[in-house]
This record gives sequence, structure tokens and C-alpha cells, in this order.
Amino acid sequence: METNEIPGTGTQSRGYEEAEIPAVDLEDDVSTGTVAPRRRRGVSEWHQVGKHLLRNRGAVIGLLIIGIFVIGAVFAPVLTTHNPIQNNLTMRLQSPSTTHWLGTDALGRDLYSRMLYGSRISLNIGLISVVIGVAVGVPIGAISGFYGGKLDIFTQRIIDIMIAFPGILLAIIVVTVLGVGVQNVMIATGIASVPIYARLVRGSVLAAKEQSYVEAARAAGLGDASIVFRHILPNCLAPIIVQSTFQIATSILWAAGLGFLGLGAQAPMPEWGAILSDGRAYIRTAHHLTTYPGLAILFMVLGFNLLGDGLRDALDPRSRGN
Amino acid sequence: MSELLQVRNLEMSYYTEGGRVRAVDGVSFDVEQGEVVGIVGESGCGKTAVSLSILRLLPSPPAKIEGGEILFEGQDLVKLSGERLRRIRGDDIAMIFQEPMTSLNPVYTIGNQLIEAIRLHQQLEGKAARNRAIEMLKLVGIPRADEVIDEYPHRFSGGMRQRAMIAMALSCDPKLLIADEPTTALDVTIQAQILELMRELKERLHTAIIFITHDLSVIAEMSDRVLVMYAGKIVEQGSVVDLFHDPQHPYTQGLIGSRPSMDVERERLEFIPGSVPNPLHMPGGCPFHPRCSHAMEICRREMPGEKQGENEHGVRCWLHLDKSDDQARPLRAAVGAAEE
Repeated sequence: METNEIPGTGTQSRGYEEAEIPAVDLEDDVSTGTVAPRRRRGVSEWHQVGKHLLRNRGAVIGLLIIGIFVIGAVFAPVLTTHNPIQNNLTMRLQSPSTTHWLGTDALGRDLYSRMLYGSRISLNIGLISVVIGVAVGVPIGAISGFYGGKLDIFTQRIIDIMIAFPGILLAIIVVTVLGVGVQNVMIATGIASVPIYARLVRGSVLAAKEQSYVEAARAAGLGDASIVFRHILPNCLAPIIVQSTFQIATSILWAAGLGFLGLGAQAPMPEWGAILSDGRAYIRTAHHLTTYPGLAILFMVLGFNLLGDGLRDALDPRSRGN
Repeated sequence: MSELLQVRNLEMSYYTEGGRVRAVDGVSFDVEQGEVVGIVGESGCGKTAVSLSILRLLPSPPAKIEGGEILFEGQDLVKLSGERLRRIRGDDIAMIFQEPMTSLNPVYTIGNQLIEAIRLHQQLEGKAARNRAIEMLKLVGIPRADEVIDEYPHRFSGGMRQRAMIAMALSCDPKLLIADEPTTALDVTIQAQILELMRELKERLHTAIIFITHDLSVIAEMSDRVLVMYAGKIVEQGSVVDLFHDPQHPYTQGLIGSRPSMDVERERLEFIPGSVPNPLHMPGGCPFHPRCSHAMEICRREMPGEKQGENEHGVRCWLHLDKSDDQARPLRAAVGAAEE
């Protein structure tokens, strides 16, 4: 599940080579003033990507899975049948039934309701940790790649050290420093993904900064900041988007792992990893307490990974080849 | 006419792992207002290095301007601060590059990129900037400019892109336009169109142009004055008429002789034997002497100074300078005798 390496994107040159872009070329013959018939004016690269993505079965399934979880998370108050943190000791460890669709836990709380609210926590952790990772990692990678030299060497050695730790271990270290809790888990998984973004973006920037439009921008009098953020980074977006999709999945998994270890969400918060951990003691008598949260984690991660795979193909003109 | 750009003894080197490469070695020339100066030479002779030095676009390291001055309207670009230099780039001096296919950013529309340049250097915003961009696209002969402005570069053909690049370069009324092989990547018919366009625009806008190419016929068509470069040095300069009718330097003669001609019937094209010397191991004396059919003893030892002829027709060759009989001993014969 550690999908840090993205074949086909990464440090290779960004795939905007003209020959491979299937769009219609304006074959205008200027000498005679005739013009190719007008088609799809202002069609951007993104329309093409979207179209290609929807043709990819895996990506559509991924989108559907994510969509179901997102709807569940957004409408949790409407869709739930019980209060997710209300104990009911008379209804302990019930098997799935018509009143408790997924059964109840050791304190008699409705598992279905807890899991719906849990999807809010997991999605939040996934999104916010990626925002943190991108916000910190992308500028570091961009500046490191753009300026090069000693700054680059220094930054990259620090990144090397961070990458040497497995992400989950890095997250545990950060949580240990900051203390337990959902917020700190977000920060921890975010920080743990910073080196991945920094390395990825540095590679893309190294390739993009050699393009002649960068030289042209410099010749037009643009400053370094405009060149990096307006001209180079938008051309590095594709690998960042793909990595982010995978990273959401990874962060959710890390967060569940931290929750399982008791380092994440604290009781009575219905975080999936914590539910799984609480249910572990009853795995022989009430397996639904571990099965359903486990499946939920599995499907959410699967959904993001399928989407990520589809995006990777859709954003790479070489694999689009139509 | 007054001098717009004066380059004096420009020295620029690349510091590579193999050692120091003197890419530009004591180059001096002037560009007057509204004048087209062509720089011609083989690949690796330093023509692009000169043009990039003027705008200080060379990556440093490895490149370093080590001496000389580049006076643009009296201010030395070599000493200018980054901030003031940026104000000159794109505003007073604009540049067109060899690769129209990659000189436009693929993620922005043509209009976006044009408007960015216009907003940066002219106090135009919003609608006014957009109108100016459309006006520029029309000027360079792009049909349906008001619609095409919202297109992405991948929908443009090479010729259209180069027109868009020219529009961008001219959008801020530069006083000097540096065109670095603007037609090399285009096919011949488009080349002719672009050259025609540039000539037309030059007449209309009175922009001075430094035109860099390895194509002598392009130079003959475009330029008022020509600089011939070899191994980082200017070996001959003069008006386009003087240079083509009376080339003085053996290298220039060789270049002109190796063009296909319609008048003379020839089985094979003539060529200059050998290739450009490895810049890390420049031959001593005149760098052209190993390839020169007129090479003499002195050519191997000393770089000739510049001899000024009529009409500022200058040449750096021992053939045209005073030397003793001993120094004038032909090198080829001497080498041949030694071998026998």
C-alpha cells in the first residue's frame, strides 16, 4: 500500500510533448489566410484528462467508492440510526440486526452509526494531512530544484534522512512529540508525507526548468517567484495530483494504524482504527466489530488507489494515445 | 543614427568539469537604432552565448561574464542589479528563441501569456491588456486573433507559435529584439513567411534586431550588417554587401563558398575541411589555422589583431596584416615537408 513511487510520472520529463498530444492542431495556412474549421475552442488539457478518466473502469469504481463514503460522511447525521457515542449497556455486543444494522460494540453503541461518523474523521485526516504535506513539501521541493547548488544538497540530505524512516514510524515520532489526538495525527501524517512531495516536486522542477518557456519567461523580465509558481509548478501538477490521491489513502491507513495503537483518536471518538482496536478483544465472539471497520478501511484505501491509478494514466499523454 | 547597444571586449566563459571554456572571447560590436545585425557562424562558435550574455540569461554557474561591457543606452548591463535588469528584459530588449514548440508554456492560453507580458511592462490591465494582446496577434498575421487568443499552445502549428512568440516579444515595443535562430526549427515555406514578417515589422516598428543564425542566405536577406564568429571571436564584420561581395577572412570565404548556388553548376558542394575545435583544447594563435588553406607560420603562434577596412569592414586575419617574410611562410607546405 506504500505507493510512494509513481511509475510514469515522477522525475521524468512532463508529458506535454507536442507529438503526443492528440488534440487538433490549428493547421492554418497563413499565406492564403485560410483557417482550419473551428473546433472545441479553448479546450484545455483538463477536459481531456476528465474524459479519459471516465473511460477508465477502475477509476470510475474508485470514484464511486469514494463518492459513497463522502455521501455517508456528509449526511451522517441524517443517515445514522443511533447516537454514535451513546452507551447502552443492555445492548452490548449485539450481532447485526434490523435495529443495529452492523451490530453494537462492547458498550452497546451502534456500529453502523459509529462507522458513518468515523468516515468523517478518516476523510478529514486524509485530506488535511495531504494539504499539509503539499503546502510544506511542494515549496521545499520547488525551491530546492529551481535554485540547486548547496541549498539543494542541504535540503535533499534532510529529506533523505526523513525518507529513511518508514512513514508510519515518522508519524509515530511526531505524535509522540505532539501528543495523541486526531489533530496531531493529521499534523503527523502531513509531516510524514512532506519528504515524498519534496522529492517528487524537485524532480519535476528539475525537468521543467530546462524548458525554453522558462528561458522565455526570464527573457520577458519575470522574477524568480513568478517563474517558479506561475510557470514551472503548473507544469508539475500532474504528478502532484496523482501522488496526493495515493497519499490520501496512505494517510488514512497511517491514521487508522495510529488509532489502532491508541495514538490517534481517543475514546469515545468513533475513529475506524480505534474501533478496530477496541473490537480486537471480541474477535471470537463478535467478529463484526473488526470485520466492518476493516472492510471500510480497505474499501476507502482501495477507492483512492483506483482513482490514483486512473489519474496517473489519464494525466500521462503517452498512455492516453488516442 | 545613434548607438543603441555597444558591446566592448565581452569575455564569457563556462566553467565545466573539463576546465574553462572561453565561449565568448573579446567580442566587440555596435547595434544602431533600427539596424539589423546578423551574427553567423557554425554551431558552438559562441553566437548564442553572445545573445544570452546581453540579457544575462546564462545560468551562473557554470557561465560567467569575465570582462567587457554591454552598454545599452549608456548603462552597462553587466553591472546592472537583478531588479533593474528585469525591467529591461522584455521591455527594452526582447528575445525570440529557436524552439517555438517549447517556448510557450503548455498550461496557459496564448492570450494568458501575452497578457502576462503586457501587464508586466505596460500599465495596462484587464480589457485594455487583452485588446492590446489581440492587436499584437493581428499584427503578426494570426487570423481570427480574437478567438485564437483563448487557445492553448498545443493547438498551434510551429509557424503559428513562432508568430505568437514574436507578438509576445514585440508587445512591449522593445528597442532591441534578439532573434536566436528564429526560423531554424521551421520548414522552409514557414521560414520565408516568418522572415518576411520580421522584415515588415522592422520597417513598421523601427526595432533594432540582432539576428542569429547559421544560415547565410537568411543573413543576406535580413541584415544590414554581419558579424562572422568563429570559436568565440568575431573574425570578420562589415556591411552585408561588402561581406558577401568581398569576403576577406578565409572562414567567411569558406562559408560563402559552401552555399549551394544557382549560377554555378557543381557536382558537389564545397566545404571547409575539419570541424570546430574542441573549446577545451583551442589551438594556439588563430583558432581557424588548422582548417585554413592559407595558414602561415604566424597563424599558429599569434592571434591576429583587427584590420579596419573601408565602411567599417573589419577582419582578423594575418593575410591582411603586416608580417615578416619568415612569419608568412605557408604552414601547409611546412607541415607537408616535415612529414616527408
